[in-house]
Amino acid sequence: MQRRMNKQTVLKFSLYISYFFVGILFLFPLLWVLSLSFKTSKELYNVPPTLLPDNLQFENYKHVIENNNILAYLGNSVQVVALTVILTLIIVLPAAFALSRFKFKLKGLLLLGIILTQMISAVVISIPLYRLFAELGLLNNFAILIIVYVAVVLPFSTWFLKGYFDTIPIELDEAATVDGCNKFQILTRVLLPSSMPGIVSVTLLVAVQSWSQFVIPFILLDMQSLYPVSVGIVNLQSTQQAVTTHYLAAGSVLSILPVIVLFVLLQRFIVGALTTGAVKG
Amino acid sequence: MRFSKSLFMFVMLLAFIVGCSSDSGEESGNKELTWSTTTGYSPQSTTSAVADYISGTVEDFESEHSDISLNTQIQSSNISEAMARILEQANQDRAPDVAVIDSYLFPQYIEHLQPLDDLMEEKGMKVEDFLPFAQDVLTGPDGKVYGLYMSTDTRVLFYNSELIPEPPKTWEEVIEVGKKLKDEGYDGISTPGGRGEGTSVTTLWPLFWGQGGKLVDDEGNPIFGEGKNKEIMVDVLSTIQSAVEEGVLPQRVAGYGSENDQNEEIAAGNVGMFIGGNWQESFLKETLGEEEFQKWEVAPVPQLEGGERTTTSGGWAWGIFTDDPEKKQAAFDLVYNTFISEQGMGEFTSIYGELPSRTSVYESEHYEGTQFSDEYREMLKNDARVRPASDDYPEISNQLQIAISDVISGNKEPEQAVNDAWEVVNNE
Amino acid sequence: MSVKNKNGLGQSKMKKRISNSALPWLLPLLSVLVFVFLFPVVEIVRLSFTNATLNGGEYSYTLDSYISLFTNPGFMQMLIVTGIFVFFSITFQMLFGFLVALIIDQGEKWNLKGTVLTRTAVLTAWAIPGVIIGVIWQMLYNETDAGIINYLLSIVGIGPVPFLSDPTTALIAVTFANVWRGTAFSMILIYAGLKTLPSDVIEAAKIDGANAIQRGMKVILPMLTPMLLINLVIISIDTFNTFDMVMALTGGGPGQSTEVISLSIYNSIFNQFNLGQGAATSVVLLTINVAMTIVYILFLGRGEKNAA
Repeated sequence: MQRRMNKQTVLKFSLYISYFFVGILFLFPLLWVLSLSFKTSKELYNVPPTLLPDNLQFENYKHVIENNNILAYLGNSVQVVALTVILTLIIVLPAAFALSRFKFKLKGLLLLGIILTQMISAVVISIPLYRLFAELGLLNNFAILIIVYVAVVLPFSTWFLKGYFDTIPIELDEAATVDGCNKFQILTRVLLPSSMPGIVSVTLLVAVQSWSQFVIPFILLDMQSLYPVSVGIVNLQSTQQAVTTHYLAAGSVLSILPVIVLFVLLQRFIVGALTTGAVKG
Repeated sequence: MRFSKSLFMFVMLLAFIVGCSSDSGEESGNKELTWSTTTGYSPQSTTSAVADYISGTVEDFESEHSDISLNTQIQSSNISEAMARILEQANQDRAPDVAVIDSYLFPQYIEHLQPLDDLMEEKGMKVEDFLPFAQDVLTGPDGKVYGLYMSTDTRVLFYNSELIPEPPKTWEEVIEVGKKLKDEGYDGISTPGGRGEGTSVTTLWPLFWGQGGKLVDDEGNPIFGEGKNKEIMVDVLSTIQSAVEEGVLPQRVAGYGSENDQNEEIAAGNVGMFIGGNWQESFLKETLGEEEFQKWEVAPVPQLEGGERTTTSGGWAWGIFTDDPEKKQAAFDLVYNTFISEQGMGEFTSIYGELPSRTSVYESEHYEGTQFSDEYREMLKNDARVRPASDDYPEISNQLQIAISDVISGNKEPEQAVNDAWEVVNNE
Repeated sequence: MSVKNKNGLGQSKMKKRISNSALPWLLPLLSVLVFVFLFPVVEIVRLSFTNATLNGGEYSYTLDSYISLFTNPGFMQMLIVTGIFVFFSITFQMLFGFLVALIIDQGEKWNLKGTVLTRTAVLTAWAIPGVIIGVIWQMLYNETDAGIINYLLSIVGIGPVPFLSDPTTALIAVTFANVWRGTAFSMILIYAGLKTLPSDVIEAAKIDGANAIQRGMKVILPMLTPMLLINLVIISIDTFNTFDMVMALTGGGPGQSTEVISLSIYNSIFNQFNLGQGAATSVVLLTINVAMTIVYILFLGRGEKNAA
């Protein structure tokens, strides 16, 4: 017994050590960028590099906000991501319902077809889409951009939710049918309430993926004012003259800050939803 | 469950709030003029004097053209990528109304551009006033003028005269001087050696051309990998390789594709000499401070042994895509007043540290020049060459950038790197 | 995604009652997929058989794009670079994901402090857009004396390391950044899997006197297999299609030593204006992805049976 206790203490201690290292590994890059974002351009080349800036240059933030429209890009991102999530759910819920609850010919093939579209890289389709949309006069259009975003996340979300619906006992549907519910009501009254963790997981996965999307907006948007933050940062990275590392760092911090805040505030829900969602899905 | 539900509601709510706040279009009655420019040539320039100058002329423009709302689009500084985008936009009739285009690619845009002869005539401007190579670039196959060459540039060796009394003329001397610098704790030399057009014009072409090498023949077909040209190209890469092996040229330049990528190191103060674009003078001055800047001098780009003094000049030209006469006029006014008129070009090039592309501007009262503008002008007159106007050029340049970057990083031997580049270019 | 969707019995009962068509429910999904994917894929395949360039103008149908692609000296290198990048990315993402999930899960059982912070730290990296990750790591990998990682290494007497200018280290550096980014996704899936393990099975293994490693290998791993396979499929596809992070970090350099296949597509089109070859490379990428998925699906089917 004594030996066992000791062993456990050692184990706990080593767990703490590994938390420390994992935490450092994942947080340090962000802290370093935070530090760079508050430095003057002179301090950037301090040898040896210093973690703490001499004094905090809020100027850098002011500069990127005033000159590089980072806030507007952030707004665009939020808007596109939110609408993508909504539209994805509107499309994917009935589809997943049908794939889970209906029996029809070629279902297996259809499921395979859907997962195959997941393989298509965005960089592959973006130039033809650009030409198509240019032809149709649909460029620089959030609605069309969102449809492409949705298409990119659809295969995965469909499979995910279909899997989740499969875990909900069909007896519930039957009971509801006896009570006089039609298909639509089965979906909204039976499946939706019992699938909330799955739906939240899909929401998060879709949101994160759309937030990261780069090549689609980069090619489908000609107008700078419509850029999401990922494209905005690349633009900031490629400024012509002078040293802009501190501005770039400030821009990066601004563009990841909302996500970090959201994750920190909601991390319990997020992990909860992701795990229940992922297990069943 | 309850938590997830409330999170879900929260996300939905957020979505609706922002989803509805989408702004709608431009005000009616106003025409929108889109101008596509690089950061450096925009009100957002990171050099404050340039930003002030352009903001000023843009404000003047806006007060004179109250019916036009100006939409500024900033290009990526990955030049070929930015140029590819505009080309693709032009193919789909979606090009910006007016855009600044790197001169070496300019001929590829001419079929999409508007002739400007009438507008130039109104201002009393003659195409003959542009420097000879600029005239070639701007004139289309039909003899009309399709662009306004805003400024030109050239590549030079910048060196700290306190550390280096006599600038090296050949790469042998570079290695010699560089070793001494290293002993004093500085880097030997810096020059871009990564993937980017800056590497081609700064590091490769001056050495290659200086030995009489040719990239393409008179029809524009690639010939850099054959016979004597190949030997020269291998020599160039071998020289660079030995500079790396001697520790004079740091391996990390294999990551620098643009002249400006060196700026960070220059600012750190560890660089005793570097090859760059003449416009970097203004960066040096602003970053180092007046006193430190006084130690710096310029010299021609070092050559291979026996090479003829050669450098690359380039520059950017404005092209107008819109065929709406009112917008075309407005675009012309904007570009003319800011960059092309005697006053505009004189002031802009003085502030930016570039060189006027119009002969008459050199004599203008508005052109103050910079500390070294006489030297630049001298080089421009005697040593400067421009890139060949061949459809294959972008590919040739790209493959040779890969070649030099492979050599510097130790991935390939010079001979193999040239062979590979030649094979790829010929494959296509 | 389904792990345990074995409700065949219920479904056969339902069959009689459900007679109306599934099509209306699927229509929006199918129309979006067709609208966005069908034309572009057909178009890319068509373009891959041409010598089209971005300059527009005339082009003709030819096999040259493929011939030149396959005979380019860089083609094999690109495949190898992609292979290394993908293989090590997914291996280490899953390995680290597994370890992190394990230590967090264990810590929670013992009510240790710090699990939440660790978990959040890992998750944050996952939510940052790829291009920004590239930008951030470029700052960290700075090779001058002001570079932070090289400075830290110099304290322990290593370096300076040419992170981005040496072909081998650059590929390692890019892969590492990608592992950093993707670990969270594997972690969350595996963590979820661990949460569902019935603790009595583990207890039983303990009483049998099996040590921790045996327990891990013999009991836990087989139960996690379906989850691990799903994880594998998703991150393989993602990694094959990754290019935004690499573009921002190295642009494919030095030389072409970090030019993975999807970045090569991008470079062909945007740096060489060569649409035909970009399209041909796209077709190669599509083929790889489809082949890989089919292999995985075969495996997945087997894994699912084993688990059931």
